[in-house]
Amino acid sequence: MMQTAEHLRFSAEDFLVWEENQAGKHEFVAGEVFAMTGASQDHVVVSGNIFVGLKHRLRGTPCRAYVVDMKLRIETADAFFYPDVMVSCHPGDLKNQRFIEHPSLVIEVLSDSTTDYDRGGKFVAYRQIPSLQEYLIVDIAARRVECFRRTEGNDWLLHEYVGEVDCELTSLNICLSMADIFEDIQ
Amino acid sequence: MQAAEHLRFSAEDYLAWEETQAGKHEFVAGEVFAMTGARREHVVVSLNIAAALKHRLRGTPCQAYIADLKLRIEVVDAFFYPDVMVSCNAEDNQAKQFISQPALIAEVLSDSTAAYDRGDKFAAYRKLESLQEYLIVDIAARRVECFRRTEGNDWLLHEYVGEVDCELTSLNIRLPMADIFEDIEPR
Repeated sequence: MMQTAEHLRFSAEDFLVWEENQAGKHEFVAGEVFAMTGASQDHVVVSGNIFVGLKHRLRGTPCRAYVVDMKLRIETADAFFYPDVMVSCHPGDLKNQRFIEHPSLVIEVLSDSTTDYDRGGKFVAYRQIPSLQEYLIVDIAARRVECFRRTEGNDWLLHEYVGEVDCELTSLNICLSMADIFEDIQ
Repeated sequence: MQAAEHLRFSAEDYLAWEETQAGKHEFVAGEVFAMTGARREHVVVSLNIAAALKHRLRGTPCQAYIADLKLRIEVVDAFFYPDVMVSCNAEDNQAKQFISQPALIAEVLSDSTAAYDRGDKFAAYRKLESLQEYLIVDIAARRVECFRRTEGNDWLLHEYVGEVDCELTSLNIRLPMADIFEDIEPR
């Protein structure tokens, strides 16, 4: 949902202070600030489906699911993003009020305006997060989930889920069914 | 790949029709898409890759192709023009109109096609049983992403950045990044 650059230049600290006083959400990359727009109904429904599925399955574990409104800091890229859904199992993250930094799982639901960024530059930045084990790209139009899983050699293994199967989130030892992910989507 | 022309064709009709056209067109499930020209850097990098491959493939049964050869993906009823392809299939290397069993495809990203090359086009390419490696070349980031098919039919992404060699394991070839980005000014 990253949109127009606002031609403001900030330090990361200044951005955090400034953004608290804004009406809308903004992402931040290396000094530049980007306003975010709203999302389509389908996008909101699918993000919600995934969050609910994760929250339910993570009950009683040290891991927590976040949806839409939590910032992710990637210090090596000097960036703050708002991923659609994240899971963190890191104790420091669970206590942090402003942002998290150590997600195990990040999920982006594609929309027309962000597809290129989610698959490209944003994934490049996410790959720099040492804690990240799995990155899911959800394509509603194609009813497809692409799961990138970090390997021992620090590469990323792409497994594609299509049809009525279960998406395995091996880092969390969880399965989400495609039917749950796409519930209420025509 | 650009504007749809709102023509609906069978694959056979598309092949006959496209031969009479001035410009190139891709084809997906009955729909035809006109292709535009590319920027200079895009052409330079495609040529660098194809030249390096051609040189290294000499004396093997494999052949490198650039830009103007069509790829047919029958299971999705599509024809594409990948930037660079390599096929080691004897039938492909005698075909006149298109090939259908490449071992390697390389796409050089441009602003207008980046999302498609990473998304739906790659999803279509993944359906090619012959395909072993898919390279996405990002000139602005001076980065090559190599997706390699695994034994379990997944795809292993390895990222090449800096002055390293890209390993094309399916062809047993190494391409130095310096060769891929030759004559491109650092930004």
